Amino acid sequence: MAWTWFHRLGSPPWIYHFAGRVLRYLLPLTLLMLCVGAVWGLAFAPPDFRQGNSYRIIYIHVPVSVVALAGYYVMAIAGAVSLIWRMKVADLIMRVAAPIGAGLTLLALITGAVWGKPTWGTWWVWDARITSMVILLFLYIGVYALYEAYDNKTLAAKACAILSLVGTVNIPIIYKSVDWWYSLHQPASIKFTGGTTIDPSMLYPLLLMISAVYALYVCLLLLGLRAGLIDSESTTNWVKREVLGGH
Amino acid sequence: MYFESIADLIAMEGHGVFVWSSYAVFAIVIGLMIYLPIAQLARHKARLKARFDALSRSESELSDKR
Repeated sequence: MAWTWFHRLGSPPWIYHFAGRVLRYLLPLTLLMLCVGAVWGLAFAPPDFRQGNSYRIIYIHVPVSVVALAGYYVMAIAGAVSLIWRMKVADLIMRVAAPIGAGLTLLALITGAVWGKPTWGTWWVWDARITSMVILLFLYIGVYALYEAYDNKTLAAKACAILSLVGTVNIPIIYKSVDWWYSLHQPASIKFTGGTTIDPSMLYPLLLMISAVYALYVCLLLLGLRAGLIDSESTTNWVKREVLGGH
Repeated sequence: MYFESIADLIAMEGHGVFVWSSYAVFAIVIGLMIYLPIAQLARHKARLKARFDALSRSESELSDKR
């Protein structure tokens, strides 16, 4: 009885319809949160006393960076579940998480570079934080490319799961890189332990944007899952009913 | 609003080009990331519908011949 939810997660039609129901409400809510957070950060938050208005990039740079890192754990955990329980849905989550993570990491790197120019006077430095983020991007692209490279998809899923699990070593390095190595990149402004070094007038829109990008991640994962499930289950009766029923 | 006019908001005291280009890239990438799986799902559904329709047509032709 207690494990019913776990078995449901392994059922493609249940996941497909559940994702559809969640997306109907979560996607519009996410877009609203992104718009409110962006307008708040761009027009209503006060400027930084040292960086001026260039710091407003924080409202997209920090959320996409945080979620790009957290997304790696989603991919690695899905990889582990796929490896241990041979669950098809977990395998699909791992495959869908890779391009989403790559997109968010790329956004983190681009917005970081654009923020770096007026703040540090350079677009790019090969410091620990940025280099480990580039490695994260390669890991995401690697998992995606590895899956596509194999003809035998069972073997491909295994190889991707192992690569994503090995790559988790990089995540604590990224988190702690600004503490372990002195670089141009500023330390974390929001800390779960100890004092947060950001004023509430700047913090609240940032927290809203972080929540919005987390919600966006869930939406993207569910959208990718629905597209992937229809394709991978194309020979089943539920897909036939879904396609011909027009729902 | 912190800024006194829309022109100030756009200029952002000289930092506008950096801030607005970042938000533009963010909007484009996020928009694409949302659009692509939706388009992919619609494509898969259209392909499968064509396949199922063709199958049912050939099945009905077979039964007519019998």
